Amino acid sequence: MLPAFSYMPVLGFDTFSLTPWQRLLDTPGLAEMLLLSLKTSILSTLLSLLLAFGVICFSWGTPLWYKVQHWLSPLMAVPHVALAFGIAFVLMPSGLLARLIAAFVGWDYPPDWQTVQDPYGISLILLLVIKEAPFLVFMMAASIVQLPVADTLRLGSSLGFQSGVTWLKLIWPQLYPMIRLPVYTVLAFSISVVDIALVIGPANPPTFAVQILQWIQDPNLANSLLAASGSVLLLLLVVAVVGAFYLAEWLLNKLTRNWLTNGHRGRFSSFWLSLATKAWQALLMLFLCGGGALLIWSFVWRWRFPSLWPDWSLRSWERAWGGMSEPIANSLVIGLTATIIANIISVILLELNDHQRQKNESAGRWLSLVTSGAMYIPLLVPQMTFLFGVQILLLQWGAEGHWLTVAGLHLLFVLPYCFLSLTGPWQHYDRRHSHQGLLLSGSWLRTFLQVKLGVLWRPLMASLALGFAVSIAQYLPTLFASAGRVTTVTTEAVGLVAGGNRRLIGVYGLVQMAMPFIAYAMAFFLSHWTLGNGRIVRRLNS
Amino acid sequence: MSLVLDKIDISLNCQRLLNNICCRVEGGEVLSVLGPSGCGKSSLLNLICGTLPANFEYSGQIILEDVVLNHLPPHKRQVGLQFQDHLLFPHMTVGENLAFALPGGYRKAERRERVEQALVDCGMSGFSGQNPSMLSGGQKARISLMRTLLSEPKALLLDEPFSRLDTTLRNSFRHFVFQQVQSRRIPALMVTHDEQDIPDKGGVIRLN
Repeated sequence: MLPAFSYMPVLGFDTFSLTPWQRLLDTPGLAEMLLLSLKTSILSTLLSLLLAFGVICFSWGTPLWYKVQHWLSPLMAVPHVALAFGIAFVLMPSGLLARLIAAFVGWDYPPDWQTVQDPYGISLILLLVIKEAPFLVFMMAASIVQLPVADTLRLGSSLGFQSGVTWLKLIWPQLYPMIRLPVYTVLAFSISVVDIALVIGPANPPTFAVQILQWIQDPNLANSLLAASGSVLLLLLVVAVVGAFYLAEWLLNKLTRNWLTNGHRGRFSSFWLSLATKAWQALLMLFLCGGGALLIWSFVWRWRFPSLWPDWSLRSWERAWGGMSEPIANSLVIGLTATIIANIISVILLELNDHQRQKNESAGRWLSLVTSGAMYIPLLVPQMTFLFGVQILLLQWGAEGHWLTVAGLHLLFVLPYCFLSLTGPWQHYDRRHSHQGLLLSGSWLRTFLQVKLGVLWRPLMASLALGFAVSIAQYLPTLFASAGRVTTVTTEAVGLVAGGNRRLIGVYGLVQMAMPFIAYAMAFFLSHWTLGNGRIVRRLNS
Repeated sequence: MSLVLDKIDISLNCQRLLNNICCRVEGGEVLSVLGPSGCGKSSLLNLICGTLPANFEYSGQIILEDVVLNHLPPHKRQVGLQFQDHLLFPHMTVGENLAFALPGGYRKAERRERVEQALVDCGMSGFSGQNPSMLSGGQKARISLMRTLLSEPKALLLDEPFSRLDTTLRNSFRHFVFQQVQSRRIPALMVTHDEQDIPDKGGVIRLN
């Protein structure tokens, strides 16, 4: 906070003043940038909510629902920078989409569209929706099991309501309060996101978070103070938007009271539901095409515009490989360290919670509420604001630029995801297994390792993969902690945006996408198979 | 008003659950279907409601007031369903729970009047603004039944309606239900596994 008021001894600013604030408020285009950030975040959050809810309404209880749930983890594991590159390759004026159209219409030149980095931020919103909708579906899926959905639907239809209206009037009002915090994290994320906005967001003016990063990277040190006050303003913006969302919920709740009980049973609900499904399918298609585009471009040598078939070559891989081994090794080491530590901490915290709860039910419940609440803090506070402060601390301690520092910062963002994903399984664990184990073995440690971890092996593996995926995707924490000395695949990939070399971007994007996938594949393997008598055998509880 | 089941067969994976059920329930009558769990009672209710899962197969006709229900979607069948757990909506007050079920045609003042009347009918006037979670089991049961009846169903299905209530409540609620069915002159079909639930008059189908 202090640098925002012109106090930053590290850089030689040691008097308090409001000048950075004045300069900030005098920045040309400030209002535009703030509005852009607001617009993209609110629109993308609302759209994602709508889509996520639509998908649940439409597919709940059908085979499609199991398929959707199956696909969620890999969807969420894809690093958003790689995704942004892929989508950009599909949408850009000389991208796959334009080529496909050109093949039919007969264009010779790329159309004059500004579909990527468009000034309205449409492509940014689209990408945020692709990123956030699966996350919201995931959170809804985790909460909805606590509601008597099947009975409510039966009751609704026996009272004469179409199923869409039953969802809207009966299930949604009960479901939303359960996913409120995740929705706020989505809001906060989309306001403060930097890496995606750099790749696919508007460039001039950029979103406010990107502008702050540019101030930080500016060689003129006075701009650091500007960045400091800017990052505080960003935090205020997030608080204001979340507050406004809360207010809007409250108002909507008041206003719809009458509508809830007005007895309208609904028309066209199946039409709206099928629309949601179509939109969902379109997003999935775009997602797959994005991955495909990365793959294609990484093997391209020359690709003139209207042609659908490029000249293939392996040269980009050969060229990139030499420079890539270091970032890959860094990503691996940092990701593994952060993930393993995060899971150990999560398990210890969960065990402490359990222990406390056994001793004293109410105190235990309180403790677990506090810990899971605290876990949301790194997800709610804009990374920019938070990391700016951390960077100044690191500067003072001289801890910048070591891979352990980077891993430590990653840990801050990996931990919440691991903790939250392990909370459910830990709560559902049948404690009698442990009691029995303790009676049989007499050893607390053996019971924990062989019985409890054995039973909870699968969620643990899933959490490890998730943590690794989160770490791979981190851009800002790496940038801030490394002082440019530790490069990861992600920082390198974002760094390529300015160069605009699509072949290299294709290679880096693909590698970035592949890393979490390999982690997921390994987790899947480890959770289903194990070594027994020197041979690989299937786990009994897989 | 009458509910007719005509030669109903239900089978799951080629295994016959119900065989040739034929019956006719007149308005104001309660027909009881008695049998142990797993004998296909719930499937029969699901069939009448239109919520039978797709992996079940059935033949025969369900006729309500001379209309064949077989191919109508669930929300157009006008069949009220009463569950064993009463499933009051936790995000609405008691009054709103009742108003929710009223058909859309009524004007605002009339809606309020009907809800008040329903509360009086079940001996709970003054509870309109209450949170449903504060009600006792018996009160929940009554509100839930009134809610079903306010939706003006042409037939009422009761799915083990008394099994979650203790003995004293059970008797008074049973009496209340049968009285409501009689005064509204709608056909009712009750599924239960307990002999004592069966009303004094009215038919019984026993399944094994």
